[in-house]
Order: sequence, then structure tokens, then C-alpha cells
Amino acid sequence: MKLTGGLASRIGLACAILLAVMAASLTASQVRPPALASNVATAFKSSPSAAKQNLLSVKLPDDPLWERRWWIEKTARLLRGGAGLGPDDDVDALLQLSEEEIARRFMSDPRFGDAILDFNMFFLGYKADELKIDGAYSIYAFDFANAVAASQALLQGGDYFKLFDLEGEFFMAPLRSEPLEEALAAEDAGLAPDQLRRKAVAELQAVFDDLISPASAATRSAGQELCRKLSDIVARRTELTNRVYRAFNDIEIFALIRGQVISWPFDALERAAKEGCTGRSWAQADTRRITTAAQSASGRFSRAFAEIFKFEPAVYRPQSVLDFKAVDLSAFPAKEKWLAFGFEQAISLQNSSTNFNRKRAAYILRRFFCDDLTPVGFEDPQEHIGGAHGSDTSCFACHYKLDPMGGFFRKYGAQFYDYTRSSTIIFDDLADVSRQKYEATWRARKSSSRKWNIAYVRSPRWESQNSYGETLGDLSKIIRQAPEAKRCLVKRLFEYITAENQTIDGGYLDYLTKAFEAEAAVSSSAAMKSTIVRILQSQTFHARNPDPQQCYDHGPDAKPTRGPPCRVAFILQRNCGQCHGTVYDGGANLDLGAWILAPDGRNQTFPHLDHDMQQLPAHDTLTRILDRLSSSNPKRRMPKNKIMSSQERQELYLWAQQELGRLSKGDGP
Amino acid sequence: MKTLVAALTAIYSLWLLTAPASAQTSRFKGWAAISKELSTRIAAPGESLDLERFIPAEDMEDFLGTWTTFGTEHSFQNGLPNPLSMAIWHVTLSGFAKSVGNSCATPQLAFHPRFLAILRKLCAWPAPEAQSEAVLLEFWWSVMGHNAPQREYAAWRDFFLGPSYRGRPAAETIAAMTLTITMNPYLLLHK
Ligand code: HEC
Ligand code: HEC
Repeated sequence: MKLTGGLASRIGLACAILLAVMAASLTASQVRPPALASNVATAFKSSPSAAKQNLLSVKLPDDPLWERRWWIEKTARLLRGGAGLGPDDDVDALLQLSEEEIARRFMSDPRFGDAILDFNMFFLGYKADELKIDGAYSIYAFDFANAVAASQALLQGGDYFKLFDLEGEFFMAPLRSEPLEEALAAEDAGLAPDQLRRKAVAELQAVFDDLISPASAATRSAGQELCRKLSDIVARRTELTNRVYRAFNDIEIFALIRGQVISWPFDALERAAKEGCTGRSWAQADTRRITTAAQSASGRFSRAFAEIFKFEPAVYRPQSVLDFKAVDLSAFPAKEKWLAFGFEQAISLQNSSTNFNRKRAAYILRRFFCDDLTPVGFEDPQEHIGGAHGSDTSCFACHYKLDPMGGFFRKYGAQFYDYTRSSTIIFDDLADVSRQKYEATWRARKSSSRKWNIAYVRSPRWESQNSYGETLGDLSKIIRQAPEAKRCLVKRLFEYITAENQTIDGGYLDYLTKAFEAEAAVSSSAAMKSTIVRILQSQTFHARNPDPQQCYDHGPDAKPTRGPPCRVAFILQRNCGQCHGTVYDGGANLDLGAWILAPDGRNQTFPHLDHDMQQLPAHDTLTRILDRLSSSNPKRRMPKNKIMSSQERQELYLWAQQELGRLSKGDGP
Repeated sequence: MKTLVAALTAIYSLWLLTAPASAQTSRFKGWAAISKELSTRIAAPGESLDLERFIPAEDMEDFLGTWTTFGTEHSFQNGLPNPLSMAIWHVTLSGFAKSVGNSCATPQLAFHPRFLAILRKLCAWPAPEAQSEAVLLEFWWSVMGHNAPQREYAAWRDFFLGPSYRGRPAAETIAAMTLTITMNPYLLLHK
């Protein structure tokens, strides 16, 4: 067999190897070169039990200098947007520095902007493989406005929490420089993208300008002529709009629509036609009204495109995230703030006429609050539950949070288009409905002091725990203030730096979050950088092939006892420990702080005694925990008469469920 | 080449042996990340290596691990090694390795001058000066970066200084060296 030869033979080689391997995998040890293979084996093994064996089988400790270089390499990759150490890095000089100094040095590299943008997109759930293609930023790097704004802020020591702002600036990508997918029409043949843009925009501009030309106003039959022209233009609205669109791609058209760059002028003309022409004789046509409307339509249109043309790739080629420039939104007819939800989110977070923004609500809960909506019951509301499937308790377990969150989006229809100025709202399934009727879904009860039932709900029972609001601006403020969102941000940062499935001890997460919050009170960008440094210095980040089930880092005052598994140890300590610290505590005889051998002699469980002071099987304890966590009866629901965060309840519940599943499958630990 | 095939066979078979035993936890870094890593280490300043051309068919890089799933929230796809992805990696990296091996006469890719200098020294293989610790270590680092522990390097070095490659021609040896480094899990996986 040779490596040389055509494609076919190379594929042939790979297949041959695989076949051979599958046929003879058990005898592979006889063919492998011993040294290489044993190392490969070590590298590929990653199950917890294999990790233990590795520790025993590796005779020589890893050279500390090599391990340090490895840390520097990983850190460089993380903080410089994927660029590890290269020929121009002086590794020996870096080795002289402390870890913190190294991290800070990489964070002052211009490429750090890419790293943070990448993380921000990860946080939002839309991480990309690469931000740049052939040296230029891809259009998707611009698509998440809050991610861009927060990256710029971080680089400049500004307000990193712009990441939580759901409306703000608009960072338009450089206009299209690639040819469109469809072939150009004969009339446009041979035009470069920018030429086509100029042509298409100039055509519509000429149509608008024609209405205000002095020639048309001067003639005697001016009114008749104007109204004829106007009704012709209004009738051709779709056709004329599409003629402009022919020069733009989908993501640009999305922005033109949201910015009302073309629709606003047409709306103005339509109104003028209705008010200035319809129902009047030609002589009575309100020429002044029409001309004023035409002037403003033409002016808005030309102003908006003058701004858009500042993003021609010939003049706008950002080299780093700091170069990303925001559109001057005052040049657009639409309002001043741009929604942070971009093109891709408009497509992936669609809102049908029956969805009532639940998909968008679930997105907000998942991404900004780390709430995955695992249904674990809820506290009985003190009043009768109303609203959508309120009476069905199993549904309410999710919908008590979901539905009030959806209300923040009540004005946004298809593609997050803002229907505030319209009496109907159109959804992504193209159905439409009266806005008043639709929004009534979120009206608060008459008896309520609030107008809307729109909130980030923590508890259906204790309203004082919830954060109410009405608009996306309110929701942004709620996220900025919510401790859950900061904790979620830190958790995601840990996952981004270590591994997405890496378990984090709750006490350690608490420690990181507290430090972050304290520093963020002064400067959120400094806080972010310090938190990055802390995680880079963690044991987890220093561990080779870390076991995702294991916690390598703990809070500062963690007790080094053999407690329950680290995924839940801290949650138990915080929420249950005060009443369940010992089995001899009359109340329940359940110690949720210890972890002992179960009666079956194989598994481990919490100390938990029955009436005869005999240890209960693990299965019973777990079943009771699941029941007590998800019960909606306040007398049974744990923690007794205390509030537990929904996120922690879900985590504990999921763990107990999985543990139970493992037991009933008969798996050993 | 038989020996190389054996080495790679070992890699695949070990993967197959360990995979079913427990949930595999180490995931691919993904095509984009690996090609960026390699470019940072060995491409000419400001350039990226055109590694795409070694992928056997268009869009196949998605099988090597990708974040980009337009239209839904993104999660890393195809991250766990499987026979298909290993085969694609193998074809792709073999093409790359061969290109490096053939670069002694004329460079086949836009290499960094420092990498070229290291390569030139190695091109004297099997001459003794090409088999020195300094040359081998430098070549290892320039392709592997600092991803792998020292013992991994030692095994690789000993293998090439052993009977299989000690006397083989430079192009063949360098291709095999490059392939074994780039197929190493410490490079391809998050470890
Ligand atoms: C595990 C949490 C959870 C539970 C339990 C739950 N839902 Fe939902 N529901 C969701 C989420 C999340 C969405 C939004 C899904 C999407 O559009 O992506 C949703 C959407 C809906 C929708 C809108 C569907 C549409 O797009 O037209 C309806 C109606 C609904 N749920 C009814 C119910 C009913 C009835 C029950 C009880 C039988 C229930 N849900 C239980 C989480 C839940
Ligand atoms: C404020 C004190 C308090 C807190 C906090 C508390 N519990 Fe309890 N728990 C009790 C008392 C008292 C009982 C026994 C009375 C009863 O059955 O309701 C009990 C009973 C239980 C039982 C039933 C035990 C049995 O043998 O049937 C379970 C399971 C339980 N708790 C789990 C938890 C979990 C899990 C948490 C933390 C999320 C928690 N508890 C937090 C006071 C508390």
C-alpha cells in the first residue's frame, strides 16, 4: 500500500484500514508499534475508570515545562480567537511570566476582540466555526448586535453588560461583494454588485423625485397629473420594492425591512394618496399635501441609502472587532434603537400565530438565565391559576415562566418585525390577527395592580420574587439586574473555557460569581477579564483529559469530606443542609450532606433512616427526593417553606432522576 | 508504508476499543479550529494554508466537527470520532502530509520561512544531521504545537529513529511524520 496515488486509492487505504480494524480489533495489539500505540491509548481513554488506570499506568510524571507550554498554547488559542502559538511568539520569554501575566498579555492582543465576540456568540447560542473567512469578517460576525457591542466595550474598558441589551446599535456588515446566486437580468448584465446597488436605488429615487419635480407642479392640471402618478406608484409598490431588492442579499433585505427604508416612504405616499386624492375631484387634489409627502419620502429614502452606502466594501473593511461601525440610525425612518435579534435569530426563533412567543421566551430563559425548563412542578399559586393551560398543572410547570416571558415580545411578529404602528400583527406563518386581541393574552387580571402579566417569573406563589415589565427595554434591565443572569454568564464562560459538558461545583461557581459581581459593580469589563484569568488558573483548565463528571475546583471554604457527588453537593448544602444535616434530626432522618455505602453494598446513597432506624435503600431515598422536589403541595414541597432557584431545583431533580435510572439499570457506580 | 499503516491501525482500533466502553468525552476541535491552528504555526505571516483542497469532497468538513448550523441554535455537531470522520481526517491529512513531504524541492504550500528552514534540515533524512534531537523536536513542535505531553513526542521520535524509517527516503519519511503528528488525538481532540 502506498500513500501516493489518486483520491480513490487514498480513500481505499482508509477504508481498508477501517475494515481491517473492525475485523481484527481485538488482535490489534499484535500489529501496533508498542510505544506509539500505548501512548495513543492513553490519549484516547477518557472514561472515569480509564482515567484511574491511566494514573497508575503512567510511570513518568509529565514534564512540568511541557505542561506549562501546553497551558500557554491553550490559553493563546482561547484568548486570540483560535490562534495558538506561532513562529513569531517567543515561548521562552512567555515561560518567564506568571500565568496571570501571560493571560493579560494575550488579552491585550487585538485578536482578543475575536475571542470575546466568539464567546458572546456562544453565550447567545450561535457560536460560529470561524469569524473570518479569507481574512475578512463573515457576515455572521455582525449579526448579533449585542455580542458586537459587548466585545467592543470589553476591549475599551466599557460596559460589557451591553451583552444583555436586547436593543441598541446596528452593526451592518460590509455590503455584498460576491455575485448573487441567481444570474443577473439582461438589463443588469455585467454590473458589479456596487454598480447594481447604485442603479437599483437610483431608479426608485427617480420615481420618488419625479413627484416633486417643479414641472409636475407648475402645469394647470397639476393635481390631476400628480394623483395619477401617485396612484400609479402606490399600485406598483411591490414591484418597485422588489426592483430595489434585486441588488441586495437576504440579510441586507432583512435590514432594509426592519429599518423601514423602503416601506416608510411608500407608507407616506399611500397616506398622501388617500388623503390628498381619493374621493376628491382632480381640481380639489391637495397638491401641497402630496408634494410634502413626496419630498419627505424622497428625502428619507436618499438619506437612508446615503448611510447604507457608507458600508460599501470598497470603503468599509473592518480589520478587528473595534473597527466594526454602527449605522447612524437617525438616517433610518424606523426608530432609534435596533433590535439585537439579527437575521439568523429571526429565522431560528420564529413566532407562529399559535406560539405566543414561547419559543422566544424559552430562548431567553435558556440563554440569559441558564433555565432549561425541566418540568419540576411549582409552588401552588395562592390564587386560582388563569390563562393559557393554567388549569393543567403538568403544563404549568413550564408555562408559568414561559408565558409571562413571551409577553415582552408581544409587539414583534414575523422576523421580529415591530408592529407597534400597525393595528394588525403578522406572524411567521403569515397568519395575521388584531393586535389588540393578541396582546390581551398578557393582560393582567382586573383585580391586579399591574396592567400586564409580563415578567421574569421566579415563583408563581410569591409575586414579590418576580421581575415585572412591559417592553424589551424592561427585559434588558431585568436581565442586567438579575443575579441569575450573571451566574449564567460565569457558568457559560467556564464551559467555554473548559468543556461544555464539564461539571462545575456549585460552590466554585458561587465563588466565581461573587467575585465577578463585586468587580462588575466597578467595571464589568475588568470583572470579565479577571474571571477569565481565574478560570484559566483553575485546576480544571490545568487537568489533562478531565473527567466531565468530576469537579476539580471548589469554593474557598469547601470541606474536603467525601460528600455527595459534586454536581449536587453544593446545591444540597445551600438549600437543604440546614434541616437535613444529620439523620438524627427527628424531622426526616435524612442527611443530605453525607454520602455512604448503600445497603446493597454496591451503590452509594445519603444516610436515611426508616422508623426502625434502619438505613433505607438508595432507590427509596431518591424516589422521595424526586417527589418532594416536584410536589406542588406546599406542605410536602422541599425545601420546606423556602425558595429555591428554579435552575438549582432542575439540576438536583435531573441528577436524582439520572441516578435513579442508573440504579434501576443495575449499573455500578 | 506498512509500518505507518500499522501505526494508524492502532489508532483506529484503540478508538474502536474504547468508544463503546463508556461515553467518549473528548471531542474533536473541528476542522475550522485545526486548520486555523496549523496555519498559525506553519503558514507564511498573514496567510492561511489552503488545507481545504485536501478535503475529499465539498462540505465534508462538516463531518469533522462544526458549530455552524444555520437556522437553529448552534451546538457542536459531529464532535465524537467515528469511522466516517476518522476516514475523512485520514484522507485529508494524508494529502496534507504528502504535500509537506514533497516540499523539500519546491514548497507546495505558503509556508512560514521558519517552518521552511526546519523542513530543509529534515529534508536531509536519512542523513544523521536530520536525525538529531534538535531537528526532530523542532519539527514536532512546529506541527503539533505544544498540545501533547513529552512522552508522546518521545514515542514518535523513537518510532522514526527505529528500523521502520531510519533509512527511508526523506519525502516518504516526512509525509509519515506529518501524518502521525496530525492524526494524533492530542492534536485533533480537546485534551
Ligand atoms: C418542559 C416544559 C413544558 C411543559 C411541561 C409544557 N410545555 Fe408547552 N411549551 C414549552 C416550550 C419551551 C414551548 C415553545 C416551543 C417552541 O416553540 O419552540 C411550548 C409551546 C407550547 C405551545 C405553543 C405551540 C405552538 O407553537 O403553537 C402550546 C399550545 C403549549 N406549549 C401547550 C402546552 C400544554 C397544553 C402543556 C401540558 C400538556 C404544555 N405545553 C407543557 C414548554 C413546555
Ligand atoms: C426548613 C427545613 C427544611 C429544608 C430547608 C429542607 N427540608 Fe426536607 N424536610 C424537612 C422536614 C421537617 C421534613 C419532615 C417532615 C415532612 O415529611 O415534610 C422533611 C422531609 C424531607 C423528605 C422526606 C424524607 C422521608 O423520609 O420521607 C425529603 C426527601 C426531603 N425532605 C428532601 C429535602 C431536600 C432535597 C431539600 C433541599 C432541596 C430539603 N428537604 C430541604 C425540612 C426541611
